[in-house]
Amino acid sequence: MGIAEKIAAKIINNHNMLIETSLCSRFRTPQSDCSLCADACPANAITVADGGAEITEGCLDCGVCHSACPNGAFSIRDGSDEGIMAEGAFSHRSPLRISCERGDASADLIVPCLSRLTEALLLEPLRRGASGVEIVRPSCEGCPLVKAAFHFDTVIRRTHHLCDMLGIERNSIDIKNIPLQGSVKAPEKAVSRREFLEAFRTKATRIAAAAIPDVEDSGDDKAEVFRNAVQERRENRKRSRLVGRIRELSAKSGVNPIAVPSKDAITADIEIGPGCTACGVCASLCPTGAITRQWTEKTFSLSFSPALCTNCRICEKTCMHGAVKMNETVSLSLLLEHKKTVLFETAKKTCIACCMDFIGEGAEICPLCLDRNKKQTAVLQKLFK
Amino acid sequence: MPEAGAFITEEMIQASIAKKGPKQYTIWVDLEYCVGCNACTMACKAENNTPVGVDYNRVTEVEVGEFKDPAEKPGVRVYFVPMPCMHCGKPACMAACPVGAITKRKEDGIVLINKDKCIGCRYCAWACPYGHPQFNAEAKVMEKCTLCVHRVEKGLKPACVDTCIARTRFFGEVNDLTKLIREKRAERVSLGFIGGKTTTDPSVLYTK
Repeated sequence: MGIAEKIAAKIINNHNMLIETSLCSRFRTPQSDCSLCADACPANAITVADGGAEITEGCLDCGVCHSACPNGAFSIRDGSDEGIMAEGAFSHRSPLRISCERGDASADLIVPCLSRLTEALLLEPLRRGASGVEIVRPSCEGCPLVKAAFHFDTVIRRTHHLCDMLGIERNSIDIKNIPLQGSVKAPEKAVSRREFLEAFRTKATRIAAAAIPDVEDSGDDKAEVFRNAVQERRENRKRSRLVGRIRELSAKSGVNPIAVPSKDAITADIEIGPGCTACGVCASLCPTGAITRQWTEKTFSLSFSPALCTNCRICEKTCMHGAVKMNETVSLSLLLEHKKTVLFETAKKTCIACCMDFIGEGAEICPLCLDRNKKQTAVLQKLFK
Repeated sequence: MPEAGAFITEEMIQASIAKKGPKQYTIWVDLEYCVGCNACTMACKAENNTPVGVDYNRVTEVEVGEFKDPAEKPGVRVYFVPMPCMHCGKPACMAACPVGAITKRKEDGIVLINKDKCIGCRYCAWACPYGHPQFNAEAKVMEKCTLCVHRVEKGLKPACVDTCIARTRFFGEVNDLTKLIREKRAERVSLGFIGGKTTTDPSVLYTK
């Protein structure tokens, strides 16, 4: 692609939504069947494939994908959670009223769609001392964004779980159903042709300037090697924000032990069974770095940080030996643990055949070398039978 | 002994490459004539520059028969079985790879590991019924026989086939090779896929 086309593509595809691909489960392994962003996207503007999620034409910049992705792969340039929290609407009113663009124009916070709300956004007013949050929910039937409606219920359910844990009454986050209204978004000012072109020119110049170093770089080195991309751990900002809010709230009100079913939980309770062969796939492919592996001089161990885990289940799906087990219920207070827990620790040995480190009982030869020998013998015997 | 290089000609390879549709290039090893000299192993090492401990082609020995009666002719012999990658129709390694680094090429049926994707987890070695993929400790990736894809793309035969001193390895499209075996050896040899009809559908042919 030439420089001119690159710049043109950047201008045309200048979405407000950005994707950090290395956090996307689908990018990390084709064995992931995650399609939460595409399922929730009201404009069907996200495609998920083995290379990860991609925003295509038709994006409305509504931000529902940001809320839907547990790994925080989507970020929003204008109107991020931090931006909304910093706006100050949160500090004054009590209870705080939130509405979507088809609801109540007098609300303190108006989001494009209620599915845009995240757990952190709903807990933030409570952290700041508001008596509650009142969500004005117009009927989603008939709204062009109706496809995203189910995700709002998920967010509310998860937030209620967190409220239970933090000893906050569930009705502090209250939903008021109203019929669907017309768009309450402030009417956009009519723009003259001159103003439009001027704005376009400014924007285009900025983007073009930003795009040029990119183009120069791409000539020198090859596309980022996948292996390096998976090893690089990007911070899941969405999770950091939520954990920060929960920790502050728990310091005020204490913690109730709450167990929720695993499929509804935002973290997981992992156990490593006896099948582990120290291959490290769970640690390599974990998008958020919740599982880490360590080789010391004498031991092999796997550690786990529940606060980082997003319950994406990549570890469970990719473990060939079925050693990763997810418990049926998860105690949400795991989110508050600062320390890593050691999941698995065992003595290491070095194989005399392949000179690689391995774990296992007895033998001096690693299970893989033994298995290889056994398989080859079996194949040859069959051939000459 | 078959005549040197008489079975597969350059024209046949070229014709095979020009043909459209799903193809499977593979190797036929006539075990009757393999003397276990390991020239294929060495040619492969030189061609692919593999480190110590990684061999895309290993020659294994199998003792067959039993020496029963000293008065009779002993019915014992050793077969040498070179084992490259079987370039299976349904590769178990490809299914097991957690990052999708292994692909089977449509144009020639060659199974390849993408070294930029491979994370060196060794799942393919666990999954392969022939234990073929090996770990390259220097590069921290898995490696396997590529059927000398860089040579095949130029219309050449794999290094192991070119170098075979007993002229007992042949390279070509699997259907052409099968036809050849039937024409030339039908009376003397049995035709066998290694491991028989297994779930992975291996392509390398052996005759004895």
